[in-house]
This record gives sequence, structure tokens and C-alpha cells, in this order.
Amino acid sequence: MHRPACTIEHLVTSHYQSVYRYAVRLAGVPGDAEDLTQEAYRIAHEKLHQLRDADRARPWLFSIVRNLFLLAGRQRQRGGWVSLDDVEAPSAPPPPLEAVDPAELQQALNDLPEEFRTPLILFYFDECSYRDIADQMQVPLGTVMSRLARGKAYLRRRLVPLEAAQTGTVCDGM
Amino acid sequence: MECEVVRLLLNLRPGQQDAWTARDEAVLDRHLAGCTDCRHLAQALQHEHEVLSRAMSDVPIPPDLHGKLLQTVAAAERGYRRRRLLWSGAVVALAASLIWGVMVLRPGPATPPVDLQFVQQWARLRWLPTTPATPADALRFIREAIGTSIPLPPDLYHRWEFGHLTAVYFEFFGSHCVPVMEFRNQNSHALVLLLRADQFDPDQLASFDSRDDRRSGVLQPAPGDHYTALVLMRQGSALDLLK
Repeated sequence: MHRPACTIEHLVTSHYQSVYRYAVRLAGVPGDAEDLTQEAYRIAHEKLHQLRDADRARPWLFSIVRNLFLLAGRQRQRGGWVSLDDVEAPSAPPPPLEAVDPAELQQALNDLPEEFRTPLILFYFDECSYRDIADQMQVPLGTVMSRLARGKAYLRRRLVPLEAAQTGTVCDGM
Repeated sequence: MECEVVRLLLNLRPGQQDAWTARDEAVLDRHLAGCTDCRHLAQALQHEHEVLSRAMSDVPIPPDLHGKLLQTVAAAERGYRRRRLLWSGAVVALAASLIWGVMVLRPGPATPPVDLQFVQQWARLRWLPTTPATPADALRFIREAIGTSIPLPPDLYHRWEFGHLTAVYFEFFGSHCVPVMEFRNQNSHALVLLLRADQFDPDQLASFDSRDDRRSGVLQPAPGDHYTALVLMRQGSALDLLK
């Protein structure tokens, strides 16, 4: 068996805040996020020997959280996703976002399908590159770029009311 | 570079930190320096990125989460150690069962032979026992092993274990001064009597022979010393003793 790159206690202390925040953004509910985080660390303890590079610990933990989330089928329980078919990247400067209410941001994320929500979280929260997101989600790079472009435009519309009023409301259902 | 291309690139820019080269950035920056519209777009997108990044991280952490997580991994570690211990125990038990099975089920080794010279040499020696038993112990042994009714009080007694062979020496002083060695193994049970040659009493031997013992013969008369040896086989034969 491979020698672990670091101890599980070190992984907890170093990354638990990021893991929890990622879980909250992904699951949308703090209670679910706490369960996800605990279960993720339990699995991380079990599979710690698979972590060969301590520098990759954070994306490794994130991938465990996401897999647990998908496995639980939580994103399917909610249903009624918004459509991103009609959103476009801006060609002119978007209305300025002076401040964003975290709860409003969370609601906007909750209304997105997981395949759009996860790249947005990784992109803004973890400063991941397109390549990192593609690796973690195991999708082509072009897919990530497309989903992010549409996801960013969607957030812009949701979080800037004036802009949303000008471009029309987001319709429910895919 | 056309503004349309630059705007497209600006929308992709934040996620390309590991793909764009310094040259790509330089080309883009040159265009932005000379194009107000694109520069404003770049600044707005950068600002938007920073605001959303901050908002995305703005999640309060439960104060007891760190402790809970440490408890979770500690419990997982205890469970892991317990499972590992159980597995180790199971492996050890399996190995022990295999070893036991091999040892029990395989054909037993042949009883190591006893060197007749060894027996004779012992019989000729006159030890001073170092672990005396009580006279009652020795007397009981005499009566049970030899069955003698000779009322000779035992004074000294000693017992040795030599693997498969047990040797018992006891000596009692009386009118005949009879030291006795007993040898036992899986096949036989022999009594070696050392008799004072000068007090050799055929009647005494006859009294031994009168019981169930089967006298297999005098091993050696030992003409040079004061003793001679007599082997009484209570079970098997002298040949069995050598197997």
C-alpha cells in the first residue's frame, strides 16, 4: 500500500473550511453541506493512501464531496432547473456588481443544474482554471468553457436586477 | 486584433491562467491600451469576477465543525484499527489452525531410539539425587511402580525428563541398599535396578519377579564395580525401549 502524502488530521485542519464552503455552494443547504463534509472526510480517511501529492489534496477532497453529492442524487430531488439556452456572453461592459448577497447567490446556484453549478463554484470559489475544472468533472475542455460562459451570463442576469429586467426573465424548466 | 475577438478572449481570460502565455497576454494588453471600449469591458469583467469570487467564498463556518470533523476521523481511525486487529486475529487464527492441522494430521515422528549404552551407563552410575521427595512419595512410587511389598523406607528420590524418556531414581537404604532407575517412553516401561553386587540376593530378585514384571535380563554384570544392573520390563520389551 502506498504511503499517505499527509495525515488525515492535517487534511482536516488545512482544508475543512474550503471543503465545507464548497459543499454549501454545491448542496445549497448548510445542514446537507455539513453531512457531506463529514462523510467526505470519512471517505478521505479510508482512501488516504490514494493521495500521492499533498498539493493536490484540495481538488481531491472537492472531487470526493462532488461524488458524494451526485451519489446521493440530491440535485435530482430538487428539479425545475432554469434554462441557459438564451444567455450570451456580454459584448459591452456588464452592469457593475457592487455587492452580491450570498443568499441570493446561493439561490441562483440552487436553480442551476449541477453540471453548470459545479464549474461556476470551482471557477469563482477555488480559482480553478478551465483545465482543472475539466479534469475534476471529467468533461472536455470545450464543454467547461461553454458551461462557464453560459453560467456566468446567467449569474449576471440573476444578480443584476436591472440587467435582468432588460433582457427578460429566466424561464423555469429545461 | 479585432475588438470582437478581444471581447471573446476577455470573457475567457480568467480561466486561462495555465494556458495563456505571456505573449498572448501582451497582445491582448496592447489592444486594450489603444481601445477604450474593450478596456472598459475588461475592467468591468475583472471587477465582476472579484465580486463573485468574494461572494462565492462568503459562507460562515460553523464554530464546532473543526472539532466534529476531528472526532469523525478519530472514530474512523478507531474503526479502521479495530477492523485491522480483527483481520490480524483472523489471519493468526487461520495460520495457527493450519500449523495445528499439519502437526496433528501428519504422521508422527518415529520415537527416537534410546542408546542401550546410555541406559547401561546410567544404570552403572550412582547419583546423589538433588531433589529428594518425601519418604512417603518414594514409598508410594515403589509400591505402585514396582509393586514390592518389601518394607524398605525410601530416603531419596529424583526424577528427570529427557524428552520422550522419563527417568526416575530413588534410593533407599536398608539391608539391601537398592537404587532404582525407571525409564519410560511410548513403547516401553523399564525398571533398572542397581544392586549391590556384594549383597546380590536372588531371593530379592525373585520377590520382584513374583509380580507382573517381566525380567528381560541382566544388562551387564559390571564386574569391575560394586553394582550390577537388572532391567525389569513392565511393558513392552528392552527392544521397544530402543525404538
